[in-house]
Amino acid sequence: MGKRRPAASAPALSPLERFVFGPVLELRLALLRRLFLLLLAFDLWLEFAEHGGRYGIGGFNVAHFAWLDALMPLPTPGLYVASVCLAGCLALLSALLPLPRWVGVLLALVYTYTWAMSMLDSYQHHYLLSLMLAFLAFFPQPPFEEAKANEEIESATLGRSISAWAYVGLLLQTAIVYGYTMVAKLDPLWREGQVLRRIAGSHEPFRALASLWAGAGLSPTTFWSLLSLGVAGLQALLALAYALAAFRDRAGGETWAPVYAAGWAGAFAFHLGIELSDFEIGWFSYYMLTLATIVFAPARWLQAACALSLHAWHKASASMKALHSSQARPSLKPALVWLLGASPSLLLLYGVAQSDLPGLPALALILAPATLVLLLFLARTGRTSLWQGALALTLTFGALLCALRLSEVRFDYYRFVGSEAKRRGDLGEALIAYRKANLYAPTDKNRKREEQEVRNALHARP
Amino acid sequence: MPASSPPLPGCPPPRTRRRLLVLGGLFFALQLYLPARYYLSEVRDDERFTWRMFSVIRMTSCRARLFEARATPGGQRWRESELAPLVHRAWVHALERNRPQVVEAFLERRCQNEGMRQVRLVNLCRDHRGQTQQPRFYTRDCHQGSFEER
Repeated sequence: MGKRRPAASAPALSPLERFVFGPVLELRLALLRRLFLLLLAFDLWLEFAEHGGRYGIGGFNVAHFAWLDALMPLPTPGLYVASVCLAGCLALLSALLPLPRWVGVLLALVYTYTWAMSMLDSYQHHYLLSLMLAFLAFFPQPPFEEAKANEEIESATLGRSISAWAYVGLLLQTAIVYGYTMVAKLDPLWREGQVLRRIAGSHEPFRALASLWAGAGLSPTTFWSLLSLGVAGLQALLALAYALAAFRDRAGGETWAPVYAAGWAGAFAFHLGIELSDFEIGWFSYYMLTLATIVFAPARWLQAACALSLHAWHKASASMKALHSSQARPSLKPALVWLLGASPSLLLLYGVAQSDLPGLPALALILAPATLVLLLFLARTGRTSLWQGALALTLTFGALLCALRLSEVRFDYYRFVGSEAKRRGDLGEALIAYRKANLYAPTDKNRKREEQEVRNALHARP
Repeated sequence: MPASSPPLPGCPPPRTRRRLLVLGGLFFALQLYLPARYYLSEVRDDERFTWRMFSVIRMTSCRARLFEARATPGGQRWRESELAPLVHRAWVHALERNRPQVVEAFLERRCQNEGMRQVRLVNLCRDHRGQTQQPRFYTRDCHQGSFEER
């Protein structure tokens, strides 16, 4: 081991093969995978889970695919919250540990199920994230075995290029999405500026811009029309930049440097514009800004940014190795190490189960044995040490617990349930939900008034 | 990568490459086809999988009303039912957006109620200028199981 065999000369690649299987900076793949999955985990816990209360009301549901309706049970709040939290755990664990490819595939499936189970979630970007997760699952696996054989591999990774067809696929998929969003804007209503005016017209930065424009004696119709055409132009530019992005780290790729720079700036202009217009699309802008930064940033910028964090990682890694070698001491038996490693995760899972949202106790019951099995699997296959696995699991369940308990997720969940039950005339359920919402309410947002209204309405009933 | 250089780390063998190219070709053909099908069709109510963000379609606002015909000794009697207590408000919004799958499933479900003969959803819509459009009628005959839209 350690000695590399001379590479056999390969048969000539066709231009299409050179495009799909050509070199990509490995650092881009590692960053994209980790940052994307990190973002996804917190997005699921903080933005998705609170909507669980709307599933299964009145026994009615329509899944995005008819076969899902036929195969799967009627979605319930518990099923939804558990699926969302499970997907988040898989995402964060995949960001922290060199897990096998099937975990990535499982994550893509569970995530897809969270939106596909019901047309209650019809955000198109959730479908896009599913496609992206499928591509991420087929990114080249981290070279964990090679790293053991060759100590220099981690620092070499910063500048190493590898073949990554799934990354090229992800870029093409993104180009198609921006391309079609541009096609949608060829509609006359969009080009005339009416749609954008209705979406963004009441928001401050756009109002100020429109006033400036009007101050110059120009018509508001022209302003909104030009702005709309500008948005369509930006999307066309982004489609082109992503279609060419596979050449970023290849010979001759510098030719397209202005397109990459314009694509990066265009992504910021477009997605920050969306955020300013308060359009309710969750964290979509942040995913796309992360993607644009990792895809379009010059390699040396990414390398410089990562050199610092890699230094910190090496230090942490060295202390982990020292800890790991202490496992060899005869006084500490493997079973004890295994139990000691698993116990913080199991304690945190108990906290998750007690977090007063439906589905969490069942999820904890599934995750507890899975935690023990995963630790064994990691240690046996040599993917990571028992301690590193235990640390990643502790961080994941700790993050989930913090996301559920320190944020407004539970308050939002119960206030949504309360408001919907009140609308349907189910005052008993509304009262229970508002009581719980007030239990978790931030001081300035409580629902005491709503709780009292429901109580009064209940008393007034014959 | 020059045409005859040694293979890059991670580059699959020739046979796998060919398979991946075929699979990828099919996948991206589908990705191009699904939204294109929407744009080539005359029915524009179902915008899923078409990458229409900030949609013009959403500028149309509708109000859905539900009418149900129940069996009576003399035949059947129509009356209007309130939508609010029946389903979550998100489903009401989907009905008001004329989502075909939701409309059909909802009417089918209403038909499961005892004595139901026919159910009809009427969507009264206004376009982006606030002008009233032709109402859209969706009717399900509970006995025959037929569905009609006009």
